[in-house]
Amino acid sequence: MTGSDVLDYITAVRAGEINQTDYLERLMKKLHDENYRLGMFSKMHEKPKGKSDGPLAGLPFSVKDNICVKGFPIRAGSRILIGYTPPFDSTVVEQMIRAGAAFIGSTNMDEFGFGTFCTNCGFGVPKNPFDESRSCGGSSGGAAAATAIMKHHVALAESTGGSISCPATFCGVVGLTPTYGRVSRYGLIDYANSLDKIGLMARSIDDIALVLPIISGPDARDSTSMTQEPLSLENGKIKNIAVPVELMSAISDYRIPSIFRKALDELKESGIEIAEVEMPMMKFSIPAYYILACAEASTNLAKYCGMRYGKEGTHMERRYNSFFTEVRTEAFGEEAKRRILLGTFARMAGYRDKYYMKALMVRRKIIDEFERVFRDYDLIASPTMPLVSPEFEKIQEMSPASVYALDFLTVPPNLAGLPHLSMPMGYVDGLPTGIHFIAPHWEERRLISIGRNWEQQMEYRFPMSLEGTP
Amino acid sequence: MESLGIQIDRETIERVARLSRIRLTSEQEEQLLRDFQEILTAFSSIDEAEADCEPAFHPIEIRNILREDEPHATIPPDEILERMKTLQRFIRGPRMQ
Repeated sequence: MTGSDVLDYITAVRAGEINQTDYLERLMKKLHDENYRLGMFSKMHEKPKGKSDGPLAGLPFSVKDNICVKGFPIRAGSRILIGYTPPFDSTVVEQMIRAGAAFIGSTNMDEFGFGTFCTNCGFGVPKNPFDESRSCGGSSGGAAAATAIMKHHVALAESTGGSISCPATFCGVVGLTPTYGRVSRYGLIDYANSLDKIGLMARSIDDIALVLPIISGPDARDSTSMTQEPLSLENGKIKNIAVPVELMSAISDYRIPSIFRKALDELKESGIEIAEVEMPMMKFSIPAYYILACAEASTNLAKYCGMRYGKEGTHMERRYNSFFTEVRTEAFGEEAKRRILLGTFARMAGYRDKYYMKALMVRRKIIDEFERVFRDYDLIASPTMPLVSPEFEKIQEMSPASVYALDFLTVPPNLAGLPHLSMPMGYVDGLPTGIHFIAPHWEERRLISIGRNWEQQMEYRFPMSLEGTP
Repeated sequence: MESLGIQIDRETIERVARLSRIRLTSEQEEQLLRDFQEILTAFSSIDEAEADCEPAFHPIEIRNILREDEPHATIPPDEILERMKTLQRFIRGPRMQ
């Protein structure tokens, strides 16, 4: 059984049993050494400060490097944003600070979220705390590693196509991606607006249940958050779970389905009915997702041109196209350039209907297919990733298309904007694997319910439990 | 190379890079041509999808919600301008012509 150390910590801070200022000072000292080894943080706060009261009193929290914090350098893992210091807090940061939490730093990520392994990073590649020769998963890799090693901490992360679930799995922590629109994106540096979602990583489902209500709710500064249904985390019984055969049949590492079947058996023993279902549209999710994500990214990243934000161009005497081209060529990384070009191609006159519009229609069909399954089942489940975290050497040998293809389990709920939860499922040669639960829009409470059920049965392993005790 | 029934060649890569305001070396063009061919071939399966329906621009239904048109405080312009290269409170940029 896995429980919440965070709740105990907050209770102790509020009762005056832990002085959170001293705790944070000691924690940061220890964290500096670990960060030198693992490279989780893009930048650490020099003197974090929380409150001694509030629902998150003194709780250390990190943000992915694409969530704005006033006066703190935020760069979305990109060298094109070197020098950018936001003049405002994102809504989620405001909410966390108001609740008493202490901001401790920004975590490393793939440039603008472009990656499955957190290796396309402008400011250091984080190493997996379970095995430093392996990836943390992407794109919120630093957030997952930080969560895996700290006893009292939650990470604000972000997912476009699986950037919370994948690293949560590889680093053996819990990752929740809420319904699209549940958490305000105000202050999030965009990758793809119709897909981006801010979510959470923590070491227990109770930590997620504690923080989710604090960062949820309508925000007039993000119109997509305004039409959401109220969040209720009232515990409800999960009656049945569907397992899509198309997703299972595409997993090549036999060890993953084997552990997954054992997990299903345990869920059955707790009285949940499990059934296989067919979801034939799932096989189109990778092309539809990458076409849409790259198309949106290519327009979002057009604003980075050497003036206004981040890296400044130096040759003002040049004509504007030459000036912009110089800066973009120098500062964008290889994967960012590839995705900008793919997205520009998909939107070009002559190709738009064939790629972009077709992908949007496929997305509609995928949403319809999920809705059909949810008419009969409470949740959908699969493994989170089709492999355990690979070694960096192996990743270098993979082609871009083969890396994109590995996202086939995490992309479908992201494309459909459905809330989903990845939890540690078991261990292969000491490395974590993940189980993925997907719920209907706005039904995060079902994820919290299944998460609590799962943690009754599962004892998580963490590589270390850093804390700010003397 | 035929991908989704579309010819991808070096000229296409050059054109897309020009539109994206990114300059590529000859080696990068070669590499991206190979990447495009592999990626678009992998994506060609989307042609088989029967999806003659309304496009989903968003994954959830988005409705307009209007607020009262009243002035409210926002970030002071000077706080934004101090982060940029400016001249007499104008943002400096390269020449247009």
